[in-house]
Amino acid sequence: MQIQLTSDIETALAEYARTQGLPPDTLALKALREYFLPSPETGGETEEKKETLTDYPEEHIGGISSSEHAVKTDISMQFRERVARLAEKHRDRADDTEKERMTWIAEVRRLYENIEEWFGELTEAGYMSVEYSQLEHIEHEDFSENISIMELCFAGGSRIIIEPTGTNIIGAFGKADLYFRGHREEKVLLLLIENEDRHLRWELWKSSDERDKFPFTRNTFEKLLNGWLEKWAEI
Amino acid sequence: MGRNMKGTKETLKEAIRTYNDLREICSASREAALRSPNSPVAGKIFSTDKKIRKRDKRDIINEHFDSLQRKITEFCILDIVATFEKSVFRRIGNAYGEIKNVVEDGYEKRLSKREPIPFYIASSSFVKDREDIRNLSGVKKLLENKIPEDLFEKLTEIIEHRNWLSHGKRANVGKESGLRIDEMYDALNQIFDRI
Repeated sequence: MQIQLTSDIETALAEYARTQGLPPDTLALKALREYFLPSPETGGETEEKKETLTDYPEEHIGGISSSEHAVKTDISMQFRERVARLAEKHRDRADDTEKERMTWIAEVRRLYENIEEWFGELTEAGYMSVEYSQLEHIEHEDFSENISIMELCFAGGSRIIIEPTGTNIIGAFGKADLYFRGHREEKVLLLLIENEDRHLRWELWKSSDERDKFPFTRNTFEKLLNGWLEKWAEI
Repeated sequence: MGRNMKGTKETLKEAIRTYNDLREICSASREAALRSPNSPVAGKIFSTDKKIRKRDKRDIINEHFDSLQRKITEFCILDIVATFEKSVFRRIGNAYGEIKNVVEDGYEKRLSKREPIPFYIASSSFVKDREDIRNLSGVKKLLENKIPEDLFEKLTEIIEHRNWLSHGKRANVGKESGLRIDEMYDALNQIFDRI
């Protein structure tokens, strides 16, 4: 193996070899051997004391120039700061993602609780029931075990499905599909919208037209279900 | 050019017609399966899983066709956007040739004997061609502030949604849009009328 030394290292090596009374080649070999093949007694110490090859020749062969050393130290500082900033940034992002996930789970639960409350009278009378089923992992990237599909079951097998599809949606915090079982092509959207004051509310969207957007309330929901039951349950 | 424009609009119309046909076929098949839930055709829908067998057959049939309907919608959105992209790039090719000629001729007229005009020899290189635009995001960039804002927003949503679908609905590639397929078709049609 041949090593091409830079002129400053070569000069420093020659100078130090002269003071030690050794040929430069022998000194260079000695330095490399000490660095890479430390004796058992000194190995730990050498490794602990010498972090890089840049540090090593500083003591053994007179060192690099102070300006070059300063530049290298500066770059090293910048690199370390950048790595730390990157780690912080991604820690914040991970925190945000977790916060978003928890908010989404809580808001879907709140939605289900509201609906159960709206129809409490009908379920107690036995006219309808509420069931929950599992979301299919394959269809939902941000799948969560803590979120289920809500099914409102009416007599004769008619079912209304509320299927939370996730938070990766344009213009809203999250989305759930709302449809009459067997008629998914005519689904409407339940969108969780964030106000300017960061307050979240559910809206029912039949299309992107402003006239087809409504706050999701007991009234708007019952009106929608009335129409669907009339059309598809023929009652 | 006129005949070509009509042709590209027709292919887009064909794509939405395919969607409507598939949707109707799906709906008719569902009705048929519900009418005869014990028929061999309907039987193929049912899983042998004991838990599923305990469920109401009607519900299983409906669930199966809801799932098919979702797939049909997704495939047709991809088809409509792909048809739009293909037609837009055909039009970009035509526009490039014409704009290049106009630029070369117009710039040449400004030549005078007294002083040269900058980059005269490379004036046509200042015209964007298909290689410069590359994909729908490039087309979108081209149309920014050139079409109504709401239409531009819809185009952005459609591209995002297409990316989301074609990359496996992953969270970091594209986003889902709340636009219905007919709204997407209308928006792309309107853009066609303007370019």
